[in-house]
Amino acid sequence: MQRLFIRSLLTGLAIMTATVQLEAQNNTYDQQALRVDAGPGTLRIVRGVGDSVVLKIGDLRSVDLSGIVATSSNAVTNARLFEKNYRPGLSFTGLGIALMGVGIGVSRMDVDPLIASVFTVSSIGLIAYGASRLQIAYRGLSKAIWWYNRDLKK
Amino acid sequence: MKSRIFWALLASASVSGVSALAQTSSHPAPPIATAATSTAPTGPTNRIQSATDSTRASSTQALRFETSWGSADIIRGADGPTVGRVGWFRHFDVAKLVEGSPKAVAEARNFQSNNFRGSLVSAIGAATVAVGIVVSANSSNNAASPILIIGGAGAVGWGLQHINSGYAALSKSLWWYNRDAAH
Repeated sequence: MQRLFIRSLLTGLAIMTATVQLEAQNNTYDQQALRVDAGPGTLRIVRGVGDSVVLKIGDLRSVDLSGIVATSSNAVTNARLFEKNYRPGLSFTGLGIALMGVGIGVSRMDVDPLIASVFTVSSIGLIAYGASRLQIAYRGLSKAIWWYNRDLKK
Repeated sequence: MKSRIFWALLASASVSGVSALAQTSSHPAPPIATAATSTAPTGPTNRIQSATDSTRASSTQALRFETSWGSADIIRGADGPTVGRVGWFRHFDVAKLVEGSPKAVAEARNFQSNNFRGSLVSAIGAATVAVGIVVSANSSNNAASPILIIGGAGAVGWGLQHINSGYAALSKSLWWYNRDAAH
């Protein structure tokens, strides 16, 4: 009888603990989980149901994503991948677009067509290289946020 | 006396077990076919088991997306399989993928309408710009060419803005899906 009494007491306690843990998980995710949002001309990282903006990404300023996801080691690794590739990717793409504009301008002037071709080929190369770096950066961003949100529940 | 206390405790244990289950059912869990969730919890022990399983399931089942050259891959897990590809005129039913979460479904529909509208208008805009460039190259004094180029560029801008809003909705949709999948 006493064993049954203790067993039922422990079962009740275990259930209550599990319920409290689940509710805590709910609250943590609702308040802390991150996602990427699109702002006017920028990307934003927003937190929780309230969509509070924690980081704006969109220009050449350095972004501290790894600081935001510091609680998860896997997220930090991917955030560093993003930080390493984002600015160079944006710079090379921008430079490529600018060079293409120069190439179009040069092609309309009375100069050797070879020069315009060099500009065009170089600009396409720069844009492709920049885009591939941006690709790596965005993959890192996606994974960093995923890992951060995943580790919130632990 | 002792037996009365025992029965009272047993009753309270079963009541809290039922209330815990009721709390879970208020968040409709998406239909994820895993060994962890395919067995329905029927009692207190299973309830505790499901609490640990939800963490395990979320680590492998949570969705995310990666943009890739004008389209986006929806991926399950950190390095998991691609479950769908969305983007310019690509039809993939995101709403069906996230159907277990009503808020995720609403955002997925928002994504689908914005993405289609944006893709259509930006494609028409790009074609208009191309026609404008061709017209201006063939006859430099044609008044229609600047109108075509400016109008086309405007349409491309409007379309891209809608595509952008669509991806924001997709992000929100997966956020809600992952949130509800974990509970």
